[in-house]
Amino acid sequence: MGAQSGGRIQTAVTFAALVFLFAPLIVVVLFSFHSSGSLSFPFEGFSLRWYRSTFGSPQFTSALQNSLIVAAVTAVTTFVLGTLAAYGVSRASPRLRGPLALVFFLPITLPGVFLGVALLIYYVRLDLQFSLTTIMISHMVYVSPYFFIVARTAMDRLDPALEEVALDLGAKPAEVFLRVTMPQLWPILLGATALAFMLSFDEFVITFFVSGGDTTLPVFIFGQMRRTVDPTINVVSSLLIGGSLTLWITAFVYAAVLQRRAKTRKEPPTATAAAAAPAVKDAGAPAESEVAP
Amino acid sequence: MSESSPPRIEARNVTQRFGDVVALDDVSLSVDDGELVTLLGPSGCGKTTLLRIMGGLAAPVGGQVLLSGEDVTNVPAHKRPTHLVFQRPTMFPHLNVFDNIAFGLRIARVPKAELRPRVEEALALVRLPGYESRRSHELSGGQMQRISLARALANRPQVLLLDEPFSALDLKIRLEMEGELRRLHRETGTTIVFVTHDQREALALSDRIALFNHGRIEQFAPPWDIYQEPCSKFAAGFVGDANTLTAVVSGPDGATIGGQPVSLPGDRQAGAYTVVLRPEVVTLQPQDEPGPGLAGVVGDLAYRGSVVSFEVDIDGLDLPLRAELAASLATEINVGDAVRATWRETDCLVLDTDGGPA
Repeated sequence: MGAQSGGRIQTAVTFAALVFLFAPLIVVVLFSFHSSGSLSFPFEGFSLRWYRSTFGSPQFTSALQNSLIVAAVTAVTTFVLGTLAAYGVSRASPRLRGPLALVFFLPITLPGVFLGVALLIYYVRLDLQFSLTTIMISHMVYVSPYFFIVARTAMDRLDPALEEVALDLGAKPAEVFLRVTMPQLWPILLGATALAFMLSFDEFVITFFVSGGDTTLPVFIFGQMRRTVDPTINVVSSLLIGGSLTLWITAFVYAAVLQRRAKTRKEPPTATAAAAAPAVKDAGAPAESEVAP
Repeated sequence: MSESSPPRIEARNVTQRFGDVVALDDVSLSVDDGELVTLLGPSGCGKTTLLRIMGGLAAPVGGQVLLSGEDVTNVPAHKRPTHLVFQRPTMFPHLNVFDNIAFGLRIARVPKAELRPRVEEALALVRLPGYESRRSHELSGGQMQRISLARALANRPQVLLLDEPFSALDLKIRLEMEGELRRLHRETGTTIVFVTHDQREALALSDRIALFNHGRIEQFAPPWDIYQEPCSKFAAGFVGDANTLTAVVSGPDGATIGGQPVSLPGDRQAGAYTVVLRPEVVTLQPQDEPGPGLAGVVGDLAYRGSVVSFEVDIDGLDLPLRAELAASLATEINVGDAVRATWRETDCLVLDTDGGPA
């Protein structure tokens, strides 16, 4: 009885937490389709007018475009630099490994505001014009530790003997990296790159300091909210929710497909090897009986 | 072999240090073409270090490595025609068996048409035909080691270097793999350097054994010689079972072990010597029959099928003497019996007390 009521309480708490987390999202999505400009109940009917006006707004489309460009460039650059950094650190001498990792890891410990202010001062000192480029550089600083941690954990789990084997079989160091090291890391590095993309796409605090005339989507949303609160905010939020949901679902489906393919790949070999298998067993069996005392 | 052809692989005065630890101390070793040489020794004796230096995976601090007479000391691993099989299974997890074995061939730009026959040939050598599309998680440890062997053999290396490749396997599979390796060696004629700490494995496999101790080669000889004529106390004790006793020579024909008179082969100066006796050369006789030998009492016996092992507490000695008798000869002797341990004079080996030959 006790255990059962405990279970019931657990269910209730879980349910409450889920409602608490998801109800606001549902409300946001619902009101993005609202026919009137009101942001509160009662709900007066469906319409796509706010979607129309959002996509009709050149500020929105340019902010979205900027965000996509910044996130894509940040993700790709972070992938290249982060992979090399993680590889370098995981192959460094044990004495250097800790300090080096700390250096790459450091930006994560700084609050966004500090990082934003610091970068702002830095760019002014260097006389750099605020632009998408400054945003991208800032995002790389912000995103790279996350990528680095994931990539380094994955690399530490690799068996260094495999690289020695490849080297020993005649592969040049670059060939070893491309044919042995990277193929084992692809899935994790792609995931980390997606994470980098999302972090950059979503970043507000640092961007706020270092963006000039070009705004990204989060900065645009903030600007909208400061002036008037109108349902376009709901539309933009719904689009973001929809976008990330699509990304997650794609990732899940892709993973499931990969898994199924790996499973079905197991079947044909055993089928094609069926002809060869008895011969193999025959070859193995006498050898075993010879050994048996 | 012949004077004209240089050894297939040779280490010349190789020294290796890790910090203050001397892993290899001026080691020289040469392996002839088609030979199977084992590097035998306790763990930490430098045998794996030498193998890695031979393969180019590590550089020595001093000395040279020569392949067919050519100095390759500074040639990196990927440019050496030597292939190393590691102790642990090391299949590339992202590739199936075919692609694992074809790895080195593809790197070497072997024409595509040749690829499949070469892989199939290698798989046939390790007796795993039809396994091309398997992945590492579908294979047992023994099968993975066979694939690693096949992968190394597919490249047709000049020297195959094996670093305790069977030590992670069950005894039964290990014995089977030893047989496979002997067959492979016969069929391919590949020069093989094999690292092991298992003296039984070394005796069973090798053309010659290089016995390592503390970064030096203690003895380099065929298994028979190592077993029959160990050059030192260490060699005697590490390869096979041996009793090592101290004999005191006081004058001509006057030698004693534990105070009991014995006769040693050859004329010796007065002093102390180490006598090495393999258990199987010792025979036991009831004490009531007169004759030479060490008197003692049977402390323990163990029946081992074809032989019976005895431990005899010899009067005047701290450690029991081990003897191994054919089961048919041992039926009369029981624990507590007073016996005399004897051996043919030619079966005992005498070393000076430092452990060197005397």
